[in-house]
Amino acid sequence: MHHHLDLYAYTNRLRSLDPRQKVLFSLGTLGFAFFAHPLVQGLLWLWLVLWILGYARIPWRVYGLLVGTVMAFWLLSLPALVVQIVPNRGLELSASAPLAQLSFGGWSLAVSLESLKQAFITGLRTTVCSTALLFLVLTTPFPSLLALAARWGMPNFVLDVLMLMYRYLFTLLETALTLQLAQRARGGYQRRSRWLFSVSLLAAQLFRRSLRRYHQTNLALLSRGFQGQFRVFRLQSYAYSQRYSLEMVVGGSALLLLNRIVA
Amino acid sequence: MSPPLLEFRQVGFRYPNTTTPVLQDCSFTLEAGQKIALLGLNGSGKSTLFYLAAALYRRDRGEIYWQGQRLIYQPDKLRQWRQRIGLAFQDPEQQLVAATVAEDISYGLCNLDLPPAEIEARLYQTLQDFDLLHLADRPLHHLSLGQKRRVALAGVMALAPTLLLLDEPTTYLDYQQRQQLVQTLENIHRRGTTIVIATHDLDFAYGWADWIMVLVNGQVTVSDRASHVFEQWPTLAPELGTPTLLRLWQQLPPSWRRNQTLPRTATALAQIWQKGLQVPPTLD
Repeated sequence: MHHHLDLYAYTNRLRSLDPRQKVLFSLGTLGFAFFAHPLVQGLLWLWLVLWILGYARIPWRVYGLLVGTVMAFWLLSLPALVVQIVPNRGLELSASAPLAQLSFGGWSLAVSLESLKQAFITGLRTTVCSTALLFLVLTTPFPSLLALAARWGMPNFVLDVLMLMYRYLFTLLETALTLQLAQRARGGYQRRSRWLFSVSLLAAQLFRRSLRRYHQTNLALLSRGFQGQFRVFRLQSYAYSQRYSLEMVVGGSALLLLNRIVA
Repeated sequence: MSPPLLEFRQVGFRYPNTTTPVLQDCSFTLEAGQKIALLGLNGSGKSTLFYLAAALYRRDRGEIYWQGQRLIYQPDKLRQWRQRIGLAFQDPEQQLVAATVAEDISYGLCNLDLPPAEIEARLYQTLQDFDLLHLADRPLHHLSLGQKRRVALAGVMALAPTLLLLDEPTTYLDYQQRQQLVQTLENIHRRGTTIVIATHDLDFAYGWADWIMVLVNGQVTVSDRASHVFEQWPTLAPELGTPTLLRLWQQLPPSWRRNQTLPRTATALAQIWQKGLQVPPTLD
């Protein structure tokens, strides 16, 4: 999945759009989603989905899987959001009657309309916020974001670390997958007892290889004249789009206006 | 007579916390303009020799010279030294440090403190030379091994080194990628770069190199013209085996081989074969 996710950032239809536009749009909609009315949040979500599936042409399965993963966390926390554990006396004093109630001893498990509404709003906000961030992740390659961060004055050492992390994250994942495959080919992970042993071997191997890679990376940097700062030349292969800017401004203004009316 | 391009004089090196030295009294010279194959078994010290030549490791004993100038381990001198000697690692994955192809190639250029316009011009030239323009903004983890090797080589060649050291460049390459590599090396050599390839791929060395060095137990035991070395091959380094073409050549009747130069390609061998078939072999 990690390869696919990264692949879409390089192959989507909004790939060449100026990352500044995408970052501003993503962060703008993310901020707006925090305080918008649920109805406006729903419209905002539809608009973001149009950008992701319609304009960027990200396959709906990919978007569905990613947003579904986020929603799975929301579902896991649903009981805590919906079910209240209150003393019976407190329940009698509350203004709204619970929709369902289960009492034992002096305590009750209750589900109220209010808590259902709260859970729905939380779920909706989670969906919209994660979609706003997914828009950025799925349409903008990480190096473009780093280039933008550099232009916006992010400290160099942070950029260096982020770039090396990005470079070696995939290498580490690939190494881990290859090692795991080699273990499986020789019967690893078949029984529960062997599973734990195989995982510990994998972790030890990854650690050893990481140390070796660290040494080799040092040599590679030195052999190419490393001077204490990781500097690269970034090609700019994107373009500012007036049409998309117009839609962002008009759509955003319309939603803000609607929010003022309904809120 | 001008001094050799690179010279090792009695160089010794041992890794920390080990008892056996990897290189011991290692001496040799490299002349400019050659295509050199450094042959040796696994663990014979080929990679270590390259790290010492590129001044990435510091020798324990002996001296290393570049055109008669002794290697001095001072930051500014080391920077100059490493600019002259380009090193392509055995595993390109270990050499590629940036996020995308263009960024990785530009990395060494940025370290030279060149003006941005020059960096951009040299970057585009290198991308073009190595047929990588279409991959310029591709992340490195999306590339195949052959492409990664090409990017690693491009990153080294962008710095225009005088001497290029390649550590086992043919490992894991398929036939087509190997042919591409040979073509790329020919282009690099034609532009005046001296190339040294560390390999235990004898067939590759036999067809490609014009100078052979053999490293045994941390010492260069053979350093001579390829034609001369291969004429006496089995006795010089029997532990390395024999190149396929040379083995075939040695199987030909002596009368076919008489007055013929050692064939370095399959085509040359086939021509000798055809010529021999026209004349019945005589008993020698």
